Amino acid sequence: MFDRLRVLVLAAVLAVLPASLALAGDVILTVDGKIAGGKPVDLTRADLEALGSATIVTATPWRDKPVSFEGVPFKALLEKLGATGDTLYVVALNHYRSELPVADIETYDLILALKQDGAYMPVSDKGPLFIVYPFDSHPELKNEVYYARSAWQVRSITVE
Amino acid sequence: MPVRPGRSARSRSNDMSPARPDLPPICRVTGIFNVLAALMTIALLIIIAVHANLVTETERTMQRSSRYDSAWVGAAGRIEILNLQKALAGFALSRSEEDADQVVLFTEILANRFSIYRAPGFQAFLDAKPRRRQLLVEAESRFAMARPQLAAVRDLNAAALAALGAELERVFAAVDRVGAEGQADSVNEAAQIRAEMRARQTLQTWLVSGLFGSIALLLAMSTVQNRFLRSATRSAQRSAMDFSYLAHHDSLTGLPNRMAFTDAFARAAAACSEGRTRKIAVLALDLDGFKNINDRLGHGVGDALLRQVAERLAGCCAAFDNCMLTARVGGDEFVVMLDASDGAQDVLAQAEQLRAALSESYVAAGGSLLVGASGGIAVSDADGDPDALLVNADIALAQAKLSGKGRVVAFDPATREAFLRRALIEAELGEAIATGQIVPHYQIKMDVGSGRVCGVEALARWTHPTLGAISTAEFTPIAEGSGLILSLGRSILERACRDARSFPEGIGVAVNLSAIQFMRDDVVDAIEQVLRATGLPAHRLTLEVTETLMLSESERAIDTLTRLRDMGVAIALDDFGTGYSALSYLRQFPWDELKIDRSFIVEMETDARARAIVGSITAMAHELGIDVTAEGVETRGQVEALRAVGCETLQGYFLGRPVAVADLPWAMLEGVAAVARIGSGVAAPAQSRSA
Repeated sequence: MFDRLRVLVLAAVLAVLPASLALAGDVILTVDGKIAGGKPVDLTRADLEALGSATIVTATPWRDKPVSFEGVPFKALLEKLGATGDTLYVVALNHYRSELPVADIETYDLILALKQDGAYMPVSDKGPLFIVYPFDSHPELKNEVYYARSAWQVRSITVE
Repeated sequence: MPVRPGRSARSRSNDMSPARPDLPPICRVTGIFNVLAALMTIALLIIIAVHANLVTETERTMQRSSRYDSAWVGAAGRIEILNLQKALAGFALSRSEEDADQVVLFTEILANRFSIYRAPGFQAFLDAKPRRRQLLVEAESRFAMARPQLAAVRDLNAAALAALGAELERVFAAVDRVGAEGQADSVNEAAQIRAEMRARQTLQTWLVSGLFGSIALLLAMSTVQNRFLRSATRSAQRSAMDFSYLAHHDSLTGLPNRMAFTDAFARAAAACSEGRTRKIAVLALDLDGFKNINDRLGHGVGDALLRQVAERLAGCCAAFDNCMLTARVGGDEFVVMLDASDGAQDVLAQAEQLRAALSESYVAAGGSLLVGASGGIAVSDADGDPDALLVNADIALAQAKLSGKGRVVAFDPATREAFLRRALIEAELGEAIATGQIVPHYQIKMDVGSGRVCGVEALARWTHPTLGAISTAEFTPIAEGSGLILSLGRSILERACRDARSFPEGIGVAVNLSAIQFMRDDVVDAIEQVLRATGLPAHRLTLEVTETLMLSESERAIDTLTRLRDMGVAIALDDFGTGYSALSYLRQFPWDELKIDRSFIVEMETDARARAIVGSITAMAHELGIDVTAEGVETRGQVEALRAVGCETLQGYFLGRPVAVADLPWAMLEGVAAVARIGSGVAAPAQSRSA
């Protein structure tokens, strides 16, 4: 009984790992719409990490303590892709859809976080990509409008 | 020293003081506004306090409404588990890799959701009902148990998949219920927030209304206040003008008053002394007997008369080119200031014209009233003091009054001193009587036949501290004019009666009784009282009266004289021969003595007719059994002339001047000596020891 259970757990862990932690080579983000070339661009974690890194330490409504988020400066991503729109339509793995004004990115230096407290975020904890606002340094952001824009499990972005 | 004769008694009705106005309404309005302003300040403070509290409350509500949205968190959970169920069901049918991946993905997503359920923002919602947390905890543990199987979904057979589906169905029931409740709570809370906000908004509306109301009230108040202030300013200006007008005008006649005259006169006088203008003349006018009219016909008539006088004056003066000012300076005294550059004669003519105008009849008391007017005029000269002009005009006016009224007299510098002396005497007479400065002096009467003193006449004598001796002839008319004659006569009578007690037996005292004293109802009682008080026997007192008291009410006068004579008092008719000296007087009353006026005596030495008259009077009097005394005998020739016509009782400087009571024995001795010298042929007039 005990052995069976152990095997089961081990199997489960093995099964879970690849699904929850995307590998560096996997496409985790697709961007389309008004971008250079006009065709959808698929990006892997390596692609994103190549765009630079930024960190925001802030409390969020979803955690009782401040967390250090690390990831791609959103601005760098848009520049890299030659995005010209003013609104980003964000779709998450859980089919959550939200709109993000490009102005927010300019104003608040948003990041597309990959890591949380130094570890890559799994799907089961808002991964692999999480749009993070600097809530603590801008108290005006602490309301449901920005909480709603702060999408997790981001999968694709359409620039319009 | 401005001396104003006869102006001491100013009547109440003819007075010239301005009326005092009421307090302006602005004072009352300001009081009300102060209370309103205080109330409004309190109201505003309350509004501010309530508003501050409201803002805080609203802020709190806003924060609550901005809180983490539990409804969405719950709802998203419901979708995610449905997606997982759908993926599992799809995999059970297809067994494809893709569907397996979907199951794995949504398992992870649901795991994420359970971690979100632990988020701090969601805990308040979970704690609202204990059952919620319990449901969710159960669901999470079920999911945790199912999670390894879901991750390894590819390895499960159909039965296991069905069991897993059933397990997910249970998890779904909990998540669904919590999600639904989250939505309901959210709706309720939103409704509650809306209700609160609406209530606050209502309150806010009231506050704003209150605020606007206060502002409106303030504006209204300031408008009203402004209006009152404007009207107060206007009325202040008006009353300042009124006051200035009242201060410079006489309220009864509307003419400029004394103050206005003084101002105008000062300006004119200054112009005069700087040589800028010419001469000025001041004419003082007043009505003859105005006081009588006021007293007898009433102040109403007096006031009406004064108004007409003012109108006439103003009317006449308007016709003069050179009139500078017309003013009422006192009861019935008016002053006209004239430019006299063209000559004093013209001004005098104008003055007479004005006086004549005032003397025409007036309409008063339902009929016509004739009142005389007198005037005094003074003209400035090059080196004279202009300030003295008004005083000089007043002096001239007083002279006009004294010299028979109804005329204008020009000021004569020579009379100024006499007038001022008279004014001083008038001013100090009362005090002099009260303090005994005026005492009787005595002049002897001699019977030149027997060479004996047969009596003395008491003559009032005033020894003034600065003016020296003032004769009775000087101050008696003044005393008669002011009514002081009564106290003066009484005082002299008392002193004389007291003094006479020490006179040698057989020598009586004669005291003058003025017509004014005589007219008093109580004159008989008064004299009886004096006699009793002093202890002088009545037969030693002679009262000297003049014929004036026989002129009117002669029957009453005779009755009074008879009563006095019945008391034993002798009655002498003084100053006989002047005036009417009707012989009927001698028949109407049994006089004890006639005193022939000095004017006849003075003429006797040179005028045979005077000798004849005195002789006839003496003979007639003696025939009637009346003694005769000649007054004012000053020379031996007069003595002899009088003796020649049978008049032997004499009085005068030749026999002795009036002397103080202490000197009377010497005067008597000298009188006897003087008569003796005539008898012995030595002619030497007696000299009084002192004046």
